[in-house]
Amino acid sequence: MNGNDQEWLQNRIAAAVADDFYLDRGEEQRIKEESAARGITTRDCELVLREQLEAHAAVSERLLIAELDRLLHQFTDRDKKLDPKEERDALSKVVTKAPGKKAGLDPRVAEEYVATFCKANGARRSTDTPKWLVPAAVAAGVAVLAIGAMLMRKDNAPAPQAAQAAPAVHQVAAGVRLNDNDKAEIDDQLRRAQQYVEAAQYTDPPEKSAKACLDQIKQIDPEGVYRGSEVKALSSRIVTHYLALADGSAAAKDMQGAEKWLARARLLRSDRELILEKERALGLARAER
Amino acid sequence: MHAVTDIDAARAFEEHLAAELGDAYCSAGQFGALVAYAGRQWSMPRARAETLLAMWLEQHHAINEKQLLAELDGLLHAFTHDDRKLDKKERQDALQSICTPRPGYARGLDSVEAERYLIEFCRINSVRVRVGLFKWQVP
Repeated sequence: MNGNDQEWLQNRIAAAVADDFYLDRGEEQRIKEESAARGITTRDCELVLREQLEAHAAVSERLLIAELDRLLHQFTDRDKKLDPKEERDALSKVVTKAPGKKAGLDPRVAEEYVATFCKANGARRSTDTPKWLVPAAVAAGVAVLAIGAMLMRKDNAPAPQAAQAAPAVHQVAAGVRLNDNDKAEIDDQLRRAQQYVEAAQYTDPPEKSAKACLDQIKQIDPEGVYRGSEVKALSSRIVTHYLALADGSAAAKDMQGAEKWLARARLLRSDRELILEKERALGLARAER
Repeated sequence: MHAVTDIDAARAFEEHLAAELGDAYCSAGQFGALVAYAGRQWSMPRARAETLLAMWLEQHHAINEKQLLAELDGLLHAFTHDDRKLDKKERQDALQSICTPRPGYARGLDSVEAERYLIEFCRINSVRVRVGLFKWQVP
């Protein structure tokens, strides 16, 4: 490695970690690819990378994840269980700033990795209680109490009063209640969806896109009770964007491209009328719709 | 800026390491001595010598006692920072994590060294361990 290459590599790494003292996996991969393209050997690249991370008190996401992986194996290889304390210890170890470092592993990345690890290795997380279980148990309890009350009334009071109690029970048992966790999850997913929209990750990659977040929100709150208007507005914004792209493709006589953008707009399952109208306008409407 | 002579120094240092580290285990003391030697012999900056040595040990699947002890320290801090207690399972997890050979390695950290470090950690940080059935005390 000559002096110029070394200086370039040092500057490249410094630029990547200067703002947050954190080198994520994607950025590290790009730096290594760019170094390889300049003819810098992997060993020299690794050497400079380590020196620069040390010099800036920065951390490498890749190394912290490797450490988290090791800990999770340690905790789960024997019993295939990850109890809350083990999970807290493992996360605390990598998320907390190590002495001499100015950052720890991004908690969101750590949490995602733990979830993926448990799925991939068949480990059971004690914190994995299904979200529907608590509301379902509460609803079942209320239903039992109400039925008990109804039966007692039936014995003591005339029939019409018992008939009045039944609809109330039904309403409680059937109604979808959003608890604080659900609302927090919706807030979180909506914030991420907005970030993905800003980064133009509307539907691709499928697991890290605005659509994925909006789908999550719809699963939690199908009726859009909480922040429904904002969710709808964001979906509409994406659909409008795709319709504009379809217009552009059609103007360039690229009807396949236009069809592709319309198909992406349909994925959002929002503003159907608007999409149909555009399909008709572009002559792409199909008989089955 | 490192000149071409740095590459020669790095090669010479690696040749020296190959000759010195025969048993695939580099103790913390040996680590410090080798870094100091590189500084004396080739005027190599300490940070560069440490990085080169750590990379060499990784490439040759040799135990880096200094790094493993740092890992043990981090684990012990994570396990004890909230309650200042180290229970049996935490102790076992911490020791196994660094003493069990990792994939590609023939051995892990020397268990006597790990035990010594653990006791020292507990004394410095006033961490209690279980003694008998109900009693907790600093070892």
